[in-house]
Amino acid sequence: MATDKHIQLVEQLLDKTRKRILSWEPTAREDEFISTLGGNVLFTVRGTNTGDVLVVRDERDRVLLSITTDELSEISRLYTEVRRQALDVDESLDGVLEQLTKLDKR
Amino acid sequence: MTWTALAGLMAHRWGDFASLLGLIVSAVTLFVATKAREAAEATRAAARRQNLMEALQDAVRKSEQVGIFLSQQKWDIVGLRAQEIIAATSLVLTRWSEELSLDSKGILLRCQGLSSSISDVALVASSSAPTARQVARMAQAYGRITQLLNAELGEALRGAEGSG
Repeated sequence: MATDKHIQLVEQLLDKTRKRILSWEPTAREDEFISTLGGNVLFTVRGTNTGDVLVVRDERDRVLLSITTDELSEISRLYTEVRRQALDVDESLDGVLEQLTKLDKR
Repeated sequence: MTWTALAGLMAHRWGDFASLLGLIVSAVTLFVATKAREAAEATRAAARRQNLMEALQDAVRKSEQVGIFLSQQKWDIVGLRAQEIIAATSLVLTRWSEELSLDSKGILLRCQGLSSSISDVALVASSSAPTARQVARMAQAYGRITQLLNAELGEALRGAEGSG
């Protein structure tokens, strides 16, 4: 069950991700992205068929928190935002749009 | 003042001279002890930096081995080496917590996260052949770990040279 603190945490992560204060990068697992905060917290966001999940670990690799979309629907929004940033989706789409526009001019 | 007069003065005020001499000796002893303690602390700090560099070099070597075994498709060894990187970075994070900046800690944590993902994928791959995309993702994560660890090692070397 998600508490007010969990909701606050996810909202903050969403905000800092949108503002690009937190930088995410893909891992070797499919649809998984990581970011760190303050040198002692590792965030992992993973998308799965059954739902998305946020895992928070400390510097000793201990799991401090694990929240799924079932517990908090905002995790899905976080996953979408994280994926967009980590894979430079917007930049890639800009490139595609530019190429499509050039096709008209030929 | 003649020697006779000086000797007379000494004879009359012997206690004052002895106190002054004692004060000078105490000050010199304190100065020497402080300098010795500072030198010992500097030696200890240099030894800790040296050990930190060796620990980071060890982590870099392990990451290079991940690359070698990835190219040979020896997934079980890739998984084990990735686990060793997690252990090595965890050791650095706890043992040299005071020496590391927040950025450095963040970099090492990222290495842990990336190594953990390689380890998981490689261990699954050891029982069923991985797809080309899985191999590509492992290679990408390996490249990033090597880049981050080498940058961190460079920082440590620079710090050691700067203070040495």
